[in-house]
Amino acid sequence: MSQKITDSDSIKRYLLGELSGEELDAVELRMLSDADYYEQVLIADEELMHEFVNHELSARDRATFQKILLSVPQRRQDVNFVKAVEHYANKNAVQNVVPVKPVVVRRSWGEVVVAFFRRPAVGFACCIAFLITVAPALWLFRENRRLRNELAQFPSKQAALQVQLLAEKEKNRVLTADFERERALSEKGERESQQFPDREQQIVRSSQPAPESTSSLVTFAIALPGTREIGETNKVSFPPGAKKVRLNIDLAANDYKTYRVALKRNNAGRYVWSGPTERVIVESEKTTLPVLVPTSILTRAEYQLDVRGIASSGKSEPLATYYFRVP
Amino acid sequence: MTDTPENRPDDIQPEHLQDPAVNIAQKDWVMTSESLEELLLWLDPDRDSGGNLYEQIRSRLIRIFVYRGFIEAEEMADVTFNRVSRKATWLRANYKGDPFHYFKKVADFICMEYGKKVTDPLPDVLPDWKDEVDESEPVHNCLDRCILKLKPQERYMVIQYFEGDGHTKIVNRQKLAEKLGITMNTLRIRMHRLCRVLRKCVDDCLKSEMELHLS
Repeated sequence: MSQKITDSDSIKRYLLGELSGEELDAVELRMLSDADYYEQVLIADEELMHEFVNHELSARDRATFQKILLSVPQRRQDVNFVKAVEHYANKNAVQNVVPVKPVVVRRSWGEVVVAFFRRPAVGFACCIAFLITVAPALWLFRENRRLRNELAQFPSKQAALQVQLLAEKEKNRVLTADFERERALSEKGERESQQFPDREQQIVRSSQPAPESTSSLVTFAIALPGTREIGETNKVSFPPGAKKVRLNIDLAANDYKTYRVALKRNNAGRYVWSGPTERVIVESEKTTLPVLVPTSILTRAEYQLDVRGIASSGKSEPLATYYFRVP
Repeated sequence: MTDTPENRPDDIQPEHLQDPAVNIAQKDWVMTSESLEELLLWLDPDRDSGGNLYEQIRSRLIRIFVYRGFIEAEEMADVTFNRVSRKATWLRANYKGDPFHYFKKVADFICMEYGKKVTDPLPDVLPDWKDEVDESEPVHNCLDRCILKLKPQERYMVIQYFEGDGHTKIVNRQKLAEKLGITMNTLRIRMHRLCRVLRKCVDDCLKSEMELHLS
């Protein structure tokens, strides 16, 4: 404080031209090197000019200052500016105070509010209040929104389930129809089997594989060579889920009790598969030899199917060769 | 300051005290771009900071010369810088201490030189100060225009701060400081900065008015 008083006193004396020697050097050196001090000098100078304009200086100071002010053109400009500001302020005082005042008052309130909330205790209390009230409210709001969303999605889920149910019903109807058809075929087969002696049936049954599920069996007819147009090949295709393919081979005659077949792929030397056939079916002068081939054997290729008849002596004799293609 | 002999090169002394042959060379000497670069680098190794310091010292020197009563304040500041920049290379290599002391010393010599030049001393009796306000003077017109450029609150501050006289003025200022929530000293500084903005605007306005008048 005393330093400030000393400063302001020495600055005033400097501005009135009353300093010399070391004191003068000290003030001017600080003006050059210390920005705050330099600003203090400028402020003190302005205030002196205002005091001069308003006749608030002592007679002695006024005389000294007037001499300095009026001797330098720049100082005259300084004091003219100060005089103009004083004149403007006094001329506009009444009309300007009223409209602008509320702006300042409003800011003052803002500052008061800000100052209030800057207190550590108030800040802490606000944090606690926030945790107690706002945080649970936010949680409830979030939960409420989630439940609303779920509720909104419910009709669409229900509709999807109904569609799925209808699809399942349709699937069930198709499966039932398939089952009925297979059962009819099975009964027909049994009726046909009663036409053969019991022993033969036992032999045939022992050589036949276990019955396959209807859904995994695909049936194809393969004609004798020469009965189709030259160049045309039997195509055998089956759905991805099928486990076995039934090949109905047209036989010229039924001269053997049992038959065996063997399969070659792409004219290779060795057989990729061989096995027994099912019982021969004779219907209206047409003899059909059913063969069940596992689909795992049938990759995309050209196939050659050799059919052999097994004589009662047990000797096998080649009968015919059939060709087909798995595309 | 370490006012040692090595920090006082001969040619910063007043010219009337120096060898006339040297004086002629010094009078003709003008600042070159190289010497300016050297000077800025001496003021601060960062050139931009050196430039800022240059402007700062120059404006303060002008003010010091004005307070000492010299009419040619700006010219004297330029002469000071010329004189210092002439020694900038030497200063960068040899000078110890801050540049302000050196500038102050040179400025003192310049004052002595210019003091000798004054042939007509100021008259003891100066024209009296006129208290009357002549609103036809350009400064009023310019001030009116410049004040309108301020924000409403700043305009209000100017009016409140300078309105009235004596005790009324003191009370007005105290109220203003209370409303703004600041101390009186902060208010003084804030008003000074506001007035500096206004003054710059008024000076520019007066200059353009003068140019318009001359054209």
